[in-house]
Amino acid sequence: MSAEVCIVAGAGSAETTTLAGPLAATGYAVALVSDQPTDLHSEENITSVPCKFDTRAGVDLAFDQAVARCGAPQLLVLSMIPASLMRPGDIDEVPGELWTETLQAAALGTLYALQACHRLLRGTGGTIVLVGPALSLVGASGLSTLSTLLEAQRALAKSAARQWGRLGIRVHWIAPGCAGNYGELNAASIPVGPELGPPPPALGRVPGNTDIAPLIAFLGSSGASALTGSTLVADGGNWMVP
Amino acid sequence: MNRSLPVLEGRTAIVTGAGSGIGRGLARSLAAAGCRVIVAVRRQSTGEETAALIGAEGGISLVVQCDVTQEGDVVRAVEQGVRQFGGLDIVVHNANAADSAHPLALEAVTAENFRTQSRVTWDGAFWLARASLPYLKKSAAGRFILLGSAFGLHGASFNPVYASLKGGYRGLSKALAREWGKYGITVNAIQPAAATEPTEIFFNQFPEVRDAYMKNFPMGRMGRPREDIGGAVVALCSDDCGFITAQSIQVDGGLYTAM
Repeated sequence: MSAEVCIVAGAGSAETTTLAGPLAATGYAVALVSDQPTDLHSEENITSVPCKFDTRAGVDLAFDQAVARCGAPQLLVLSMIPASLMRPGDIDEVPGELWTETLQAAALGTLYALQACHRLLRGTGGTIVLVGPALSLVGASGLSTLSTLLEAQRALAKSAARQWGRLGIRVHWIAPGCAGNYGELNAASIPVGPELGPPPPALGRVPGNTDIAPLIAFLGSSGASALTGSTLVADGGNWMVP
Repeated sequence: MNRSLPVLEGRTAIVTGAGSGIGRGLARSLAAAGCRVIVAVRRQSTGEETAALIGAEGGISLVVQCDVTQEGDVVRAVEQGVRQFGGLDIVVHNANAADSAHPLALEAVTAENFRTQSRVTWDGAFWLARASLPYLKKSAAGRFILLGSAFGLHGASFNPVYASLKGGYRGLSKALAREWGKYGITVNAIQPAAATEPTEIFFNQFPEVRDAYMKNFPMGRMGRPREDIGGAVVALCSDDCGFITAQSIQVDGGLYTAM
């Protein structure tokens, strides 16, 4: 029996592509649609398709190429975060074009990718999982642009979940912890959890991609058929966002 | 607090999109609380109407033509207000694009749909934050308030762009609150549910939607821009609320209870 197919759309930074390997390890045939140079080409079960995510037609074409090579997907994972937005700077130091161009291009790229997901899943149903660092749920000084993008993506995921649920399309947001998962954020001041006890996270470590991939695979499985529009904070128990 | 004076006596506020609806209600409410209000509007005539309402109640305002998508307009509005009133204490970014309430399926959204709205909400917030920061730092009670939406919390199947942009405000307000706390500036997002003219037009077209929607309000009605939403903003700007920051506050009569 052939493996189920997962398209991973990773855009803007190297970190956005790193789920492809662990997802392939869970058994998916993975098509990585990305604007990043990747050294994953030779890995088993991963096919790379270049995409700039700057036009809807371009994203549709890339997703079609992914389908042509791997087959129709049941699971689509979107991780779309420009590296430049992960570099900390107070809002009065942020270059205007980072806000008016880069941020909004990333939001539009996410929109195009979701639209491409809808086109591929509207007849069959399936699962879409958007992924972004948990920092936006609590805010981080010096990362106003990134926080804006992430919360916008999360709200977009909820709107998609509401609108496409009747088509059998389920949409989720997963928020991994930052440490170890987003190297670009190493220079940022990420707020730690609010309580006075042992240092967070509660599990004693920040889960990495090898923990996140099985969680995504679960969301794509029939076992998660009752869920949509959810936010899953996979940070090992830090802020424990309601 | 000295209750013999209006709660915001002597402070200066700028309200964007103050020519109608919630923005006008906020401007009137802030003025009634003692603020000198910079009425920032794209169309001067709507600002003059708001100013007349404020003036009729003895309030003080300055109408400034301001397209919030343009950095120069925002800087000019802030500078003009500061010159007139001597400082700036309160920033309320309320402006939305005219077509922000038009229903549109997510798969039908175009780049133009998105940018038309994002230029007003996101770019406006960005230019306002940068232009106002030097003055908010000097204020003894700096307040930066974004008018968000519950849509940004729960998503909206018929208006995904608006929901997404307002969701972005949640991230922005929390990040800015962390960034500006050291200056004593509070940053919050208000999520109102208020009856405005476009809402009424929509509900008059779809009365069955109104009836179903109203059942979601524990208080049985939508908010009034001035009294309910404006009252909350005035309270948030008061000294009593100077320790509330980084919050997304529902002012919706109990519509959204899932926080």
